Amino acid sequence: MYTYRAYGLMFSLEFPCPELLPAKGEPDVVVRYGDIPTSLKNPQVQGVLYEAQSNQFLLKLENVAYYLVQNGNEIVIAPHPEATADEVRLFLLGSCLGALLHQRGILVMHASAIQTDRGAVLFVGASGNGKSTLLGSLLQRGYPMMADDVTGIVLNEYGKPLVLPAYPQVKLWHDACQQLAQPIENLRAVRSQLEKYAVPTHHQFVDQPVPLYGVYVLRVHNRPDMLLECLEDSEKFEIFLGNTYRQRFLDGLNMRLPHFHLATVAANAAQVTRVTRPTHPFLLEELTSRLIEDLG
Amino acid sequence: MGRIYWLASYPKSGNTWLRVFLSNYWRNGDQPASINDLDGGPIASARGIFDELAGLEASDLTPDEIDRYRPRVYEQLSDNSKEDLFLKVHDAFTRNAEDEPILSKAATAGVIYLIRNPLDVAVSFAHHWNQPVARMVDALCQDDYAIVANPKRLHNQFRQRLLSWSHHVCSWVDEPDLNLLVIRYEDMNLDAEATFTKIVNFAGLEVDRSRVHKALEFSRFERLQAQESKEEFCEKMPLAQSFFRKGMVGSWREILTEEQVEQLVITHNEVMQRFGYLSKTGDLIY
Repeated sequence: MYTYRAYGLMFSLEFPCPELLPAKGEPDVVVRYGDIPTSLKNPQVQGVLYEAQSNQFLLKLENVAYYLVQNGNEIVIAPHPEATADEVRLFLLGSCLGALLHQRGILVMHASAIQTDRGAVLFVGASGNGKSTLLGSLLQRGYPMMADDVTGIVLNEYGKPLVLPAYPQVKLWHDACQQLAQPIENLRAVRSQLEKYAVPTHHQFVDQPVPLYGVYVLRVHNRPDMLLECLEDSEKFEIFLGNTYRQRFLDGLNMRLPHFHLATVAANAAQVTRVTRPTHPFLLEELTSRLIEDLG
Repeated sequence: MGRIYWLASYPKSGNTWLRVFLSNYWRNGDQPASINDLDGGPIASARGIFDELAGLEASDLTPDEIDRYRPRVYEQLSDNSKEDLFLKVHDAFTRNAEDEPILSKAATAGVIYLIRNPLDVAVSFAHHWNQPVARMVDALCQDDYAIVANPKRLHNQFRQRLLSWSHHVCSWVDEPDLNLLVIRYEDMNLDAEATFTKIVNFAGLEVDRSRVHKALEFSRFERLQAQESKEEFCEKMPLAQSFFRKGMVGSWREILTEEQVEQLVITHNEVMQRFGYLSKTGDLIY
């Protein structure tokens, strides 16, 4: 058995998972190989590649694996015989972990996160708006990372939102590596057919929960200028709601109500700033500097 | 039958203009609809639609896997909708490796296919991408042409196979069992009221002449240009000067060289004749 820590939880796996941080302790979640039904009995929500019902989530990726995530404490995997271990882990660490966190009542954001002097800062925005590239740039400026794509938030004993550390890896496309002058020769492609690479960040990772400070919402526009605007009240709440990871999972898992509560608390506690940059050029250096300046 | 009406066209063939018209027709407001808040979007190839309905990141899938699941995504989009949906699409009507149409017929209510003189398309396309005209003339003649096809970066849309201009047209208009309305850009320009009324009727909307007039007035090219000069249009390509350039019929005459005209006419002769862009004796009509 291999044991790791991610999102403040201990994981016990039947196979090694080099993306996660090794740790010792009693497992909160067991990940194992096993037989899986091809569909759930009474799915409340059926997506194209998943089904969800109270306490059960089934991800069906025919040529990679079927994954059953249940009760917030178990993930069973039935891999396709021709799938590689890297591929099987890729979807385990994406949608399956996201569903598991939802099952545990954690607020799951489609966001990257870093630690700053003011607390944890999240970056949200549509895929392709530069979350991971910006994260790579902030890492180069010395900020420790907490999460790349999926960020978990819980409330502490005083009801204050805490951001959970995910695992020490950033996924970057070829052009983002180039922008960051990150050599790709020694990097592993996340799948052999994709020019998207796994960059390990063990040396620059926070392994403790950090109080939530703020959220930057990344947008692009067709103008040459860059804009930073503070959001208030309901706008902040909409950001937490709209950037919740795979919102439709919540309906299937009957988690809408607790999610609503968590999103409200987090939105009230957070500084939320909308950052709009030109579509082209990216202005990565300027964007990074403006954000660092804004963070004081 | 599905719920989706595809607003289908090769790029730069009047798709956005149609969406401006439809947005104004539906809303029936006192002011023109904002060009940055149009119905009929996002584009069918938008990554966000896929990720939410599929339940995983398309950016972790191979292009073949994405094509394999795209029909299911549109079926689910259609099934989840209580009313008809209008969705812009630039893909040619192609099939995936499983030989299924990527734009699922089960999800389809109908297709409004817009076609424009390829000579004008080439000029407009060059402006849109800020590319030399010669390059876009080649693109219109390239059998396997695709846009958003750079595998080295994450884009907010999927790769879209356009094929050559002729193949794009035929992929849609010759596909059996599609509830199809073919509209020429030139007719939208030169016979606007009748052409847009036909579209309204086909889309199952109540035909109201005064609404058609108002929507046409709010969609006038000069008005769109004026809006764009005041606020940047979010669908403009980053390197282009503007999105709404001329909107004219026949502006190729000022731009294309004789060789470029010949290249396009030879390659697309048959389809140009079929849709009235070229006479039997080889004369260019617009």
